[in-house]
Amino acid sequence: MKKYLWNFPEERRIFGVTEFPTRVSIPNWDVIRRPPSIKAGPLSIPPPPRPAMVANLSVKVIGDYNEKGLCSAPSDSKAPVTLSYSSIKKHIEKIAPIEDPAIVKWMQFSATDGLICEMTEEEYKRAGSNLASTSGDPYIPGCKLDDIRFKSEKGSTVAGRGNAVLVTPHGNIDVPVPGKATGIFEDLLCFAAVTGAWVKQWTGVLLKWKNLTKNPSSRIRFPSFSGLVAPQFIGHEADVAFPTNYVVMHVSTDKPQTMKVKYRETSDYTQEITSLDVDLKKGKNEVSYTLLILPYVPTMVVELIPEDKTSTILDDYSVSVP
Amino acid sequence: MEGIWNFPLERRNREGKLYFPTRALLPPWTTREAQAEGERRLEIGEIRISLVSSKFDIEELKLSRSSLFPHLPVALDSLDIQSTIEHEAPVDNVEIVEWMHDSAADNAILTARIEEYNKYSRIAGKCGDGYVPGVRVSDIYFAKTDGYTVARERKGTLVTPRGRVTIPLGGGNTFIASDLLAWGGIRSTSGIQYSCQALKWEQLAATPITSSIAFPSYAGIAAPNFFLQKPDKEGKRVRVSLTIASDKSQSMPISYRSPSDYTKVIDSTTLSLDKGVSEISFVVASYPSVPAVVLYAAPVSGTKTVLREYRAEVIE
Repeated sequence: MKKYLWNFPEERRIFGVTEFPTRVSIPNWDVIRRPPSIKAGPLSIPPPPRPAMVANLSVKVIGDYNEKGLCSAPSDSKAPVTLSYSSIKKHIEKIAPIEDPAIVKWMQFSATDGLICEMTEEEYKRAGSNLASTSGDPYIPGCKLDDIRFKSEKGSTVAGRGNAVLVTPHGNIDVPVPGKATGIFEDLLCFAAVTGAWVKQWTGVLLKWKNLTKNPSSRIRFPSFSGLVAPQFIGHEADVAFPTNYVVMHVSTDKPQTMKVKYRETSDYTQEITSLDVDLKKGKNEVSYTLLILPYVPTMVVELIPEDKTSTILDDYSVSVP
Repeated sequence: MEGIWNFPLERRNREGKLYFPTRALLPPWTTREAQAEGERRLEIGEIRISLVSSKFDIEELKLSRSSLFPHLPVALDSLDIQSTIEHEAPVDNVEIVEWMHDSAADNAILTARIEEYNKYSRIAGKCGDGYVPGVRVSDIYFAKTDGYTVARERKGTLVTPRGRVTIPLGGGNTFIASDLLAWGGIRSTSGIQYSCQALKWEQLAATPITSSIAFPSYAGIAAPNFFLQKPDKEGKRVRVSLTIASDKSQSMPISYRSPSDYTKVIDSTTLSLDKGVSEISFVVASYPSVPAVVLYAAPVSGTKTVLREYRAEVIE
């Protein structure tokens, strides 16, 4: 049986604040080849760059776009299982109409975001790991997830300034209103979106990757909140240490787009090893390429970034050693 | 951080779905056999309770502020701060409706308590409307029942990967499975909506606990708490000392539970606490050594209760 070690501890203290890092497990064959750790927290020395390149990129359409096999939301089994924001919102409008005195407009947006979050969590969980998410109004009742949160401010304040503030243990990030931002820190991966703002209220979405799934073999959506598409983070793991890895992934998209793929160090997520742009056509795309990294291809974090206003699904991701 | 986790990070339930158990980091000397034997032979000596101060002063308790609403004063119950929130964001029936005040005040209390607990470990929670937008924490959530049904049936349902638990309207209920600890409360209904709170213990805070951890209180509905009592070293006799502050006299049930199966109660009793700060001390003995155990403490609703200190030190 393979042995694994986590890249980060379950919790850390940063300037007196408890932080729960995003973790990925690293196989023993990779751990023993890594240089002795020189990292000691936020002021650490980054790992040395690895010579890397991508070759033989191929993209083929092998089928139509479909949404089969996506997960439903456990809290609402009647909600449509789809990436279509408008379909899910229609369902919410039906079960919680604005005519009811206890329902106001932002709640319908927030509930729609919440169902999308829940379906995404289920798909990520099915792939064997843990992505946490929440949605809500950051002014009141407030929007917080684990150790990240939106600063509680009025809708008119964030809309007037043009940005909301995402507070993380590593510092604050500005999130455009409306808009999105991805938080990539040494040991933390998160995402925030602001989907709407009114006078007092506004709607926000938070995602935090707790533990990364590796080489997923089941479908995971790129959640889309009013057209703002979140990235996905997964782990890349080979069976043995070798300078080349052959990657095959299937990605379904409802329209042509260019998806960015970035490979990041597991010892410091801010360190990019290599990246590529993949031109996808409408339908199910088979994307394959060879990764060459010296002295060997390590376990890495893969960031997949689709374009906004697309419906995109990662069907699977596999790694083989030639 | 050395030790042995009692449960893996993730498990699959009967339906094959992945879930995340409540974990505790047991002492490194723990073995399955010694733990079972230690639990079986566990004996608790006379419990001494002494009132060290009859004063209950929130300033002296050094509690955390809400990270979500840092401008709000330190508080122990959501009703203490609700009027401030109502004043800042009055109901306009366009963007702000009544239940949001309840939930904002509950969230302020919840996030402050999370700050306190997470100095030692990890608890997650959320307060909001159980119908729309819905209340979900990790792998637990409130069933999407509308407020009218909750009001009519006088109850709602908290769903966990290990089963469901009924939550009474105007009260709370604790869900205890062999490897999962959660709590839900329902404060009120407002038409189609209802205000509820969900807590999930992800990892248990272990002794020594040296700073205040208050028990959350949502409009008088008090939530319990779980801690891991972990002796500082291997030994046959351990002196346990707790310091608890309470704003009024109460009889607080406590129980020791097995970290290998949270449903297994090793022993239980009720602590009679007077208003003020009380020190509770007793000796726990076992063989081959005193094992780590889970302490469940449930203050009475309507009280404000704070655990100020909790230690388990080997004396032999």
